[in-house]
Amino acid sequence: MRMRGGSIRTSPCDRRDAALRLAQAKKLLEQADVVAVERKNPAAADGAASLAILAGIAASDAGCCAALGRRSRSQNHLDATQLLVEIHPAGKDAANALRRLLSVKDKANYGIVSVSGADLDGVLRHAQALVAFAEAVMLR
Amino acid sequence: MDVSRPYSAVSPTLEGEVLVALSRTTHPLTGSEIAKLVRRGTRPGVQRALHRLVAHGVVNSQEAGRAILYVLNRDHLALPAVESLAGMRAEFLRRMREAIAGWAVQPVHVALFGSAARGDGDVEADIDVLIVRPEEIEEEDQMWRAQVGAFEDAVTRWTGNRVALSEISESEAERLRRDRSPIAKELERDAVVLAGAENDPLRCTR
Repeated sequence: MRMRGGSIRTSPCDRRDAALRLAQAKKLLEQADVVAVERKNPAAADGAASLAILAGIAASDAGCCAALGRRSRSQNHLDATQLLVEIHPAGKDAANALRRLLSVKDKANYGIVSVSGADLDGVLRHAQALVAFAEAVMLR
Repeated sequence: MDVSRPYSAVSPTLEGEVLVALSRTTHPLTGSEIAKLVRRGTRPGVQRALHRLVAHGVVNSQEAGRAILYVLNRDHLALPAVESLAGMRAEFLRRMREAIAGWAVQPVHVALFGSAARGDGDVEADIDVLIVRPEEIEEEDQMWRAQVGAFEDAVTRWTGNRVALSEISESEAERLRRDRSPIAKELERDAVVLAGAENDPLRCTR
């Protein structure tokens, strides 16, 4: 049996928190889809990507709360991937999806480099995958 | 059946609760952490259930300092049964979605709501289902009624629970949304989509 822990900071949460974060994730993803319609406008593409990334982070929290009873409270969202891999099944896939989302995060948030159409498709797909993952965890 | 904890139909003791909680993670947990994850039972009750499960080898335990950590033994012969118990709610949704996908007259939207969607019901709770009927289909359309009736019967056979059906037309859905009725807020918050594109059943009109 491997040792527990790692150094990431977590806070306790329960299924009620999970349901709330999942509802937020769905709403954010819905908004991301609406904004993404105007994807030819670079500002809209960045905005849609930012919303989808927030949706993915909220869905990750939901999955962690439902399965583990705790979520990351680190400023570094990448730390949440260490919790996601502990969730069965599909925790590793969820961690990968979050990692991919976060790789686009700064680009989208600061607008220094605009999110391309391909990036936006990927971001929306990964966010959808995380929402589906959280829904599946909630059903167990 | 308690749709929020369907595994309790065949595993009504705390062992079922503990196994399902452990099935969600590969991470070793303390008894106290497991007690927080199960949906009912006391900490001493969970501890007793863990001891029994360890004795059967389906849960592994290991000392870590002063704590004892527990993890599901995923090589155990009983593991497929545990996975099956943990997957019962997902299987229930899958069956409902599959049944609706086979309807000859497709609905605009179908959603589970109420306690079955929130996961806080009990054995006696009705299963609340909202169906948005296409505007061009009469409420008493024979084919429509036959498929909705067959769906209700199937859900009752699968669960033992009565279906509380709320059937509305597209224009009624639009009106409920516009008026911000209490059910509109409940649906927006809790609905689990069974058919239809939108997350919010009342925003589904074509």
